[in-house]
Amino acid sequence: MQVHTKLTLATLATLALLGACNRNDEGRTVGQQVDGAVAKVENQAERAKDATTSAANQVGDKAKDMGITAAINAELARDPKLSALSINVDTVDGRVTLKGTAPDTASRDRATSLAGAVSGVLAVDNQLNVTPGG
Amino acid sequence: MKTTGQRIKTFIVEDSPIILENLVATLEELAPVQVVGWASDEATAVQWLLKDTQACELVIIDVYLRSGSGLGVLRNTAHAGLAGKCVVLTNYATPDMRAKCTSLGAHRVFDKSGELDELISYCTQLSRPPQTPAVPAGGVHN
Repeated sequence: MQVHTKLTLATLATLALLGACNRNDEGRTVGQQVDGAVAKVENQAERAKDATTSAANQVGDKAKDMGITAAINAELARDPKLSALSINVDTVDGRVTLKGTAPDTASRDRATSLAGAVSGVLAVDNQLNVTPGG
Repeated sequence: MKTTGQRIKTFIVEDSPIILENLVATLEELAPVQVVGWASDEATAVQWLLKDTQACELVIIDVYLRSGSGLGVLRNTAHAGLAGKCVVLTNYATPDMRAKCTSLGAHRVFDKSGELDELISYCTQLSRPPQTPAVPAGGVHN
């Protein structure tokens, strides 16, 4: 009889404890859920921002390279001997490759410094050939 | 220099566009060189030089660059079997700097302000292959 009562009491106590835990858990869970949701949204916003920034940077780099190419073409057009039409300017990440022809060796070499003087240019690969009259 | 033909293919590592312009103009005028490329920082220079180790016969290197240094260029290309001779052109041609550059594989070190003439005669010498003495033994094979 005594054993039975003890068992019942123990069971009741356990149930009560569990109940308390549950209630506590639920309370926390709601809070956590809100926090979690907020964190998630913030995370996603942060990630979206990162993605946007990196996409913008890529577009920015491309635009920068295009700007460099345009500036070099303008310099070539302004040069009395070099021709923007006979020189192909290719820019990738500030590295410029010149292909095509120059009328003489001095002009060919000048193309390197002319391209190198454009802001944002890191390197010039001068692959121009000398073709007199070309 | 109006002669065409045996111009030595030269790559320049120099971070200042103004010095580049003057150097290219001077070399073009006075030395038999053809500037095939230019880089303003160590990484780009090393990348260019290692892409085709036979692409040039002379590499003129400034010590202080936009990023990295000329010493780094020497260090990172020393064992690549470059066909070109590396020379250093610097405003800081102190005995220490000369020793450092030479130990890293520089063939010669020229002072930017006082030894341009020497650089020009060095280029002229390079362009006459028969007179060039045999390259010292110890060719590196990668």
